[in-house]
Formats: sequence, structure tokens, C-alpha cells
Amino acid sequence: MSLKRINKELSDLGRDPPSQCSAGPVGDDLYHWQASIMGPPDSPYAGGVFFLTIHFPTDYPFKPPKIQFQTKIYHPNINSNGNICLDILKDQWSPALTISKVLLSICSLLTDANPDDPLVPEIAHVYKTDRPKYEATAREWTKKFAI
Amino acid sequence: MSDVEGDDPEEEEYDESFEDSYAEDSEFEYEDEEYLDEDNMEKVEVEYTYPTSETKMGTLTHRMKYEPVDVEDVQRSLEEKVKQLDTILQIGTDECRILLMRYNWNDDKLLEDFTNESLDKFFEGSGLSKNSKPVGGWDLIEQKTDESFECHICFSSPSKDQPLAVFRLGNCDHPFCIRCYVKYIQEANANSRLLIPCPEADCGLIIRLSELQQLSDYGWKERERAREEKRKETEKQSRVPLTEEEIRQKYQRDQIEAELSEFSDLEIGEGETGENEEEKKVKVEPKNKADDTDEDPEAKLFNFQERILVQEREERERRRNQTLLSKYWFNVASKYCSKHCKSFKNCPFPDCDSLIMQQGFDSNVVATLEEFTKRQLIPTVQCSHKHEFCYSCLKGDHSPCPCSIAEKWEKKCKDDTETAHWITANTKDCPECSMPIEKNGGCNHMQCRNCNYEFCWVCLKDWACHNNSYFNCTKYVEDIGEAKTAQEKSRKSLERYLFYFRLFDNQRSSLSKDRELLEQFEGKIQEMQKKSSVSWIETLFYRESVDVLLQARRELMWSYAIMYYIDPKCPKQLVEGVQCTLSHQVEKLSRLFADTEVNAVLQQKAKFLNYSNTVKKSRDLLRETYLDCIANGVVKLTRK
Repeated sequence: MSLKRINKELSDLGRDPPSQCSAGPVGDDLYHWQASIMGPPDSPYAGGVFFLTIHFPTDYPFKPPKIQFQTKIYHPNINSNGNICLDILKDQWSPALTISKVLLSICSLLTDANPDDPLVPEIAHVYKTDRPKYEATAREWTKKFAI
Repeated sequence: MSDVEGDDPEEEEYDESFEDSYAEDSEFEYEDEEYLDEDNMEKVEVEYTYPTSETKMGTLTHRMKYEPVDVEDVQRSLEEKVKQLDTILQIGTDECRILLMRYNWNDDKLLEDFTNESLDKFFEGSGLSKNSKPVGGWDLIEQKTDESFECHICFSSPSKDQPLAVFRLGNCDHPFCIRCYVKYIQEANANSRLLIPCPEADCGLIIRLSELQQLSDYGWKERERAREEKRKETEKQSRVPLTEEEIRQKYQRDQIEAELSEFSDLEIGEGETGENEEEKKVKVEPKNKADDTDEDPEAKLFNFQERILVQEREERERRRNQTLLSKYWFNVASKYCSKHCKSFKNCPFPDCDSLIMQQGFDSNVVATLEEFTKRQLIPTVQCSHKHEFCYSCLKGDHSPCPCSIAEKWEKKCKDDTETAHWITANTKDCPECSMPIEKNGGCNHMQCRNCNYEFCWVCLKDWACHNNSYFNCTKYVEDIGEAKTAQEKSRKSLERYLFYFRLFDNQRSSLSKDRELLEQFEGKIQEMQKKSSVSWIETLFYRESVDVLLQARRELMWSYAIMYYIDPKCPKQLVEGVQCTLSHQVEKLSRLFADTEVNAVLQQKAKFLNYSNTVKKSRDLLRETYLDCIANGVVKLTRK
């Protein structure tokens, strides 16, 4: 069941790739993918390419996939290990969601961070009190790690 | 004769006068009693509010009051709440249930918000559709044949010759294939989610109970069909010409099955209308009676009981299999209890979903569980599935052994403290490096393997000082005496422990062996019941005796554990005596079980009842004796 669905998602991604994202299996193991996201142009991450790993659980799509950033990124909802705090990857997961939809959600998270539910409180604090400083640091990190 | 006749009127007169005076007397007495009552009013009232129970010796037992609660009981009371709310809000029970869950069953807060806020605001984000009547008017389950349809979960589509069963909620048009839907609910249940939304990501409509019921029923029927197909398959494989006897058996079986399917149809039909369990049973029973009128009364009784048994079994199976809904209600009930009941605990037995609700103590000194267990009392409870356990430590019943002692004992049995005991009893530490040394030869001149220190085994001093006066150290009599007593003490303690452990272990193994044996008997008894058409109520005594035996064995077992912890200075003849009696009675009953052939069980009924009664009495005596002794300080539990 999960394999069929993952295959289907893979062929859909090939046929109709979403803008700014790409994803595919790493090797022969279809349950382990790598994805990349281009930094959205209207964000401090513009110009950067961010890599992510995707692990599908065996009971996918009834359980959410595990997604982590491989590239370091300065963001209130993404910590130094690359873990993402996103509701649809946790309790708000729905089996009708697909990887391409999730990647798009992550893209929009890069544009609009959610500082009220932060994973890294320090960054959220800077985001809320000193927006230019946050943008400068994010741009610097992007230049350092993602270009 | 005449004397007698002459006496009669006198007697009558006397009687009358006596009655009169008696009446007057009694009136007076009555008044007196009233008077007394007024005097003692306060005392009487206090006793009434705290109906304490006590042992024969006058020790208060401070029993814990509790009520075993089933998920069904909680469910029923919650449904009552839902109905009450619906009479006020008039928006349908399904909607009320969702709202109540959102408010954690706090109906006061719900009603307050409902009256204070505008309707739109109130329903906003509640996951309810604004129009409570289904907009689509469609069947929730549908066989899709349209090939362009695609389930968004598994991406499968119906083909021409194979339609796809899909499910969607009454108020939103988001169909998914029904298997995925069932799996989705299972996953949500496993995560104890109570408000399960439509799987479509941005829909947010909460699945209602009536919709869940349909899914649940569908899953159940699917499973039944699969089982039926499998049965037919195996039957087909094993098809050989049947003998006359086999044909008759098969015919009878089919008839029974047809009848049974009638029952289950009835049940499912009623289940869909949402009536509760009790009403169902009431409705089914008269039908049974009506069916049986043609048969003779003996067979009628037997069949009736048999049918109830079958029905109960089916009901249990149905409940077990109907996991979607039952699991859902279990989650709802657990959540409700954890929010609203101060003191409840789940039964710790595997696969048991009943709850125990604690309702205080029948005592005016004990108010909390801690105080209760501090008095070395054991809060043994029995859940609605007859599992006995200790409410405080959630382990199997360990009375008459208090929780702390039981815990210590189990730890002692598990630990390697006994290895340490052996070491202290049989070795001495090297005086230089403290390595334990076992003496394996006759010579007292020891050399430590570890540090090469040479010393004397007798006095544990440097060997060098023994050079000239070899046996000088034997002069230090006091020292040797002390060392010896320490060693002996340790050895004695070990023996003591082993003595009680053997008794404990022996009872434990007897308990498990008895249980196995009696389980076999249980099957045989059922067979016998069928063959000789004895109603189950007549064999009830057997099962009760089994329970008595097993429970007595368990209590005996734990009473040995307690003995180890009793201060050896205390007089324990009393408890030992009671223990002895119980052990004797238990062995007698156990022997009776082992010796009685299954066919002869009914003839031995009186004996069984007699023996199990004596066991019961001595068991109660044991329990009371321990309580008394501990409470009066006759025995002290001091050992570490």
C-alpha cells in the first residue's frame, strides 16, 4: 500500500514538478528520499538551495513522513539539527497530503515564519524585536551554507 | 375437662388484662426508647455516617469503597449528558457530542458561551457544519464505478468490472476509498484522537458518531464476509461423501447458525438506531422464550442458558472485533475520567478495559490512600471482569501482605542480595584489600590472591606476628566469639529466608498447577453439562470452589512472605496456628479437586460446598488475625 502510493507520488512529481522544489529517492530505497528547496525570492533565503531528507514510515500515508533540513538555516521554526516545527508534519497530518504539498508548505514557512510557536526561541525573539537584524543574519547564513 | 373449661375464661381475662398492660407498658417503653434515642442522637448519627466494620477483636478495618466501572457505564452517562444538552440546544445529538468533547464535557461553560456569543462565532472552528441536515443527501457508503475517480490516500481507482467502495461524510463531498478511511480512523484511535477531522487537509469537518458507526459496521461486516469465505473454502477442500450421522450434524449446525444470524441481524439493526446495550438484551430475551415454548421445560431451561452463553460470547467477540467504535469510546471514556474523576485507575490486567473508581473510605480516621496503606491495610479491588488487584501498587492481589512488605519481598526474591548472604556466611574479607576469600584448605596461613597479603584465618592479623607463637591468636576468645556470632547470625538469616521462600515458592507453583488443572476441568464440566443437560447454575458451585481455592492459595502464599519480616522476638504462635489451619484446609480442598472424577462432581456437591466453606472461614480468620496482630502491635514488621 505505502509503496504503491510512494511510487505514484514520485511519478506525479516527475510529470508535474512544483516550482522551486524537487524530490526523489536517494538510492534503491524508495522509503528514503532527498529533496531540495530554492529559497523564496521575497525572503532572506533567496538564492540559496536547501537540501532536506525525507523518511517515509512503513504505514505512510497514515503516519506523516519525517522531514529534516540537511542544510543549516537560520529560522525560528527550524533548529540546528534541521528539525522542522510544522503542524502538518505532526498532529495536523492528513493522509490526503502529499510530499509536494508538504514541500510547498515548507516554502511558505520560509517566507512567513511562525514566531509564536517557535522551535528556537532566541531566533524568534530576534524576529519579533529586531526584524532587520534577523533578516541580515538569515541572509548571512544563506550565503555561508546554501550557496 | 371442667377445670380446663373453667380456666379458659379466666385465662382470657388474664390475657386481655395482660395485653392491656403490655400495650401500656410497650407504650411507655416506646416513649422511653424515644427518650434514649434523643440522648444518643449525636452518637447514632456519627456511626451512621461512618459505618465502620471491625474484626472480632475490635480492630477497625477501614475498608476502601470503590465501584468497578465499565467503558459502557461511562459511555451511558456521557450519552445522557449529550441528550440533556440536545434538549436545550436542539441541534442534534451528534453535534452536541462534538461540542461537549471540545469543551471537555464542561456543559456549563459550553452553555455560557452559547448564550453569550453569536451563533456564527460559536460554531466557528468547531468542526461542525452549519446546516445540521446532510447537504448532499447521499449515502455515506457508495460503490463508485466512475473510472476517473481516484482515492487521494491510496491513489486507487475503480475499474469497469471492479467498483470501489468509497465513504464520505454527510456534510462534505470528500470521498475516499473505505479501506483507507477505516485505516485512517484506526490510526487516529491509536493516537487517542477524539475529534477526528475529514482526511481532506483543508476540510476540517469533524466525523460524527453516526458516521463512525457506519464505518465501524462496514468494517465488521467485511471481516465477517472474509471469515465466511475462508470457512467455505476450507469446507470445499475437505469435501468427501458424508455419512448419515454427519449429514444430520451438519443440518443441525446450519439450523443453529441460521438462528444465530437472525440474532446478530437483530442486534446490528438495533445498534444502528443507537439504542444502548441494555435495551437490546431486553428485546432479545422475550424472543428466545417465545421460540422455546414447544420444547419440554427441562430442555427449555438448558437451551435458554446455553443461548445466553452463546449470545454473550458473540457479543464479546463483536465488541472485540468492532474495534473502531469500541476503541473510540474507550478513548473518550479514559479522557473523560482523567479530566473529571479524581480517583480512578485502569485495571492492570492485559486486554482489560474496565476502570475502578475509588469512592473514599468507610472510616472516620482514614481519608487518603496513603493513610490507608500506611496502616498496613491492603486496598484489594475487583474489576468488572473479576480481576483482583491491589489498588495502591497495581499488582495482583497480595493480601494479607501489606504493599511495602510485598514490594520488599519481591525485590528480595529478585535481587542477588542472597548471593551477598552466602558470601557473608561462607567467606571472610582480606584485611588488606577487602577481597572476599573462601577458605578451601585446612591451613590457616592464608595468602590473598589479589594483594599477596599473608594473614591468619583465625584472627585476621598479619601472619608475620605468628612466626614464633603459632597459635597465640586462639587466646583471643572474645574476638573469635564475636566473629563467630556475626557469621552465625548471617547464616541463620539466610536459612530463615530460604525456609519462607521455599514455602512461598511451593504455594506459587501449586497455585499455577491448580489453575492449569482446573482450567482443564472447566472444559470437561462444560462438556458434561451439554451431555447430561445439567443447567449451568447447578455447576456454579464448582466454579465458586475453584475461585475460593485459588484465592486461599494466594493468600497463604503471601502470608509466608509476611512471616519473614516479622520480628523474631514477637510471639507468632497465633498467626502460625491460623496459617497452619488454612494450609490444612486448602490441601484438603485441593485434594478433593484432584480426586474427583468429572462425572462424579455433582454427587460430591455437598463435600465441595462444605470444604470450600471451611476454607473461606479460615481464610477470613487469617486475614483478620494478621490485621489484629499488626494493629495491636503483637507482631512488628521491623526487618529490613
